[in-house]
Amino acid sequence: MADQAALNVTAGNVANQNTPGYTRQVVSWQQTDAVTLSGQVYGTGITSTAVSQRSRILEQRVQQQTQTQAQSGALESALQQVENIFGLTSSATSASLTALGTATDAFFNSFSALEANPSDAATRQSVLAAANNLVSVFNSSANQLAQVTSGLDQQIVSVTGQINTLTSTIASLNQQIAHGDSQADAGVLEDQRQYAITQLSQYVGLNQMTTEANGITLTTSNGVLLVSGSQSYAMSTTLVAGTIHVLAGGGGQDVTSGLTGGQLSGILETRDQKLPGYTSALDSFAYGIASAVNAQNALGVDGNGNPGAAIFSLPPTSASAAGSIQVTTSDPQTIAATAPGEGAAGNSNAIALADLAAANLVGTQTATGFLASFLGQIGNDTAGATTNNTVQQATLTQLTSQRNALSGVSLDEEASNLTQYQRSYEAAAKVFSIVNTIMASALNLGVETTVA
Amino acid sequence: MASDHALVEVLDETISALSVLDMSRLETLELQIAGIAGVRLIVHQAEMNLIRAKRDVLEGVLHNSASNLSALNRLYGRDTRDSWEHSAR
Repeated sequence: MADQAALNVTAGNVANQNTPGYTRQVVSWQQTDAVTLSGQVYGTGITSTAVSQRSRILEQRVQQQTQTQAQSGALESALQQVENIFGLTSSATSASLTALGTATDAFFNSFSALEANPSDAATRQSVLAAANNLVSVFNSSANQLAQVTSGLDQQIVSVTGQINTLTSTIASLNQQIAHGDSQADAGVLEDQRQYAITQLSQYVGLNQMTTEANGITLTTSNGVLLVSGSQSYAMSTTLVAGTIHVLAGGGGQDVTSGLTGGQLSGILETRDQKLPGYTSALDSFAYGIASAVNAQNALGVDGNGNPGAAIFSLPPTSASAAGSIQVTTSDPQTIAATAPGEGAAGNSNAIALADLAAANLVGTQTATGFLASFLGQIGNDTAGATTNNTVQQATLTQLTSQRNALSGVSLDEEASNLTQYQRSYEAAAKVFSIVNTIMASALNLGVETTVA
Repeated sequence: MASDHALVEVLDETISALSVLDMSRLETLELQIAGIAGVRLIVHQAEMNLIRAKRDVLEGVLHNSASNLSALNRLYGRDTRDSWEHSAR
């Protein structure tokens, strides 16, 4: 009988090896009570029991790492969308080759062409065409950034719904486990709850506490209740000044700025910390160029002999400038190529307009310099997020392997595994050290070099 | 003479092997990188960014591994396991 039970456990482990959340079972052997008959002691054999073992600590480390990886993954994914908006698909893409860089250069180059032919209608038309193209790129980029924000808002609502489904499931499983009122195997319920918590970890950072009757209490990373015993506390979303905020706990506490870990945190970090900076920089860029060109055009005389008017319409400040900027005219004579008193053939103001390309138009930077640092920032942020997410993914894989390898093994096996892990780490550290030495030598020797 | 691709491959494989703590593979890679360091290696600047990015990933995984191993060693021998018996089959 005991042997048959052991075979059943093995068969169960094989059958469930792909079951999400399944914990491997081991056979525990127990000697049954001996029987004494007429002073003679008789053994009655042994019985076996299927036992599951799960390390609370390892399980929680896997869940914490799942939260960290999900956050970094959400951040990377959103930043890649931003990179795509600006055409930064390759790390080698220079700012001048992007749509924004090309349009900016073409706009200032059109003034250089106007210097040579200030009264030529086609050349003047080219200036307007370049201005319209630049405005189109500004509008499109701002619109796409707004769409990324809108998409992240939709994700927040969707993720919140997923969180509520899972917390409700966990609360229900807490109740079944505590009351033992289910016909299901308690181990199966434990596995289901653990699996649900792992899934929940993908969405939101958690604190986890084991309570009496084998219950689990879950809070957000900043301590707001999600599950307590058989009670779950739904998250919700609400609009605050046009922005979706996340509420949690019985009292509907605003946790938008306090969450760490999980997709939700990565989404909020992108929406509230990264995107506003990019949007603001794009606005400053558009506003800086357009306001300087308007001001310079106003100092000249247009093709009709009138004082130059604004070429671009702009808001009073840089806020929302990239999304709302427009070219005010379709008349090429509006371009003020000549300086006052210069006559129709003059080109002084066209030269001054072309010289704006080298002037500090955006803060203390030229347009080209600002664009390079702006796009460089996006590229660096995305590359950093990609590196971090790769690290977190590899670490999660490692922790999952360790959890699986260390659960339910003897102390001797555990010691042996730990020795192997230590040796693996040392070998990888040696690889890292040697690569560092090679790279340091290569950098010291220049662009293309031979490292001995 | 080895190419910079060899360095990229070693880094890729080391990150992958470290993720699953494949000791034998990592020991082989340790020997392989020692061999690469001993020969004349051409490193193109264009590849340097890629190598640097992979080196940074390896550094991050090593950092996390060290912290993780330290925790596992501290936990060794302690009973942090939940056990439960299953109903009769």
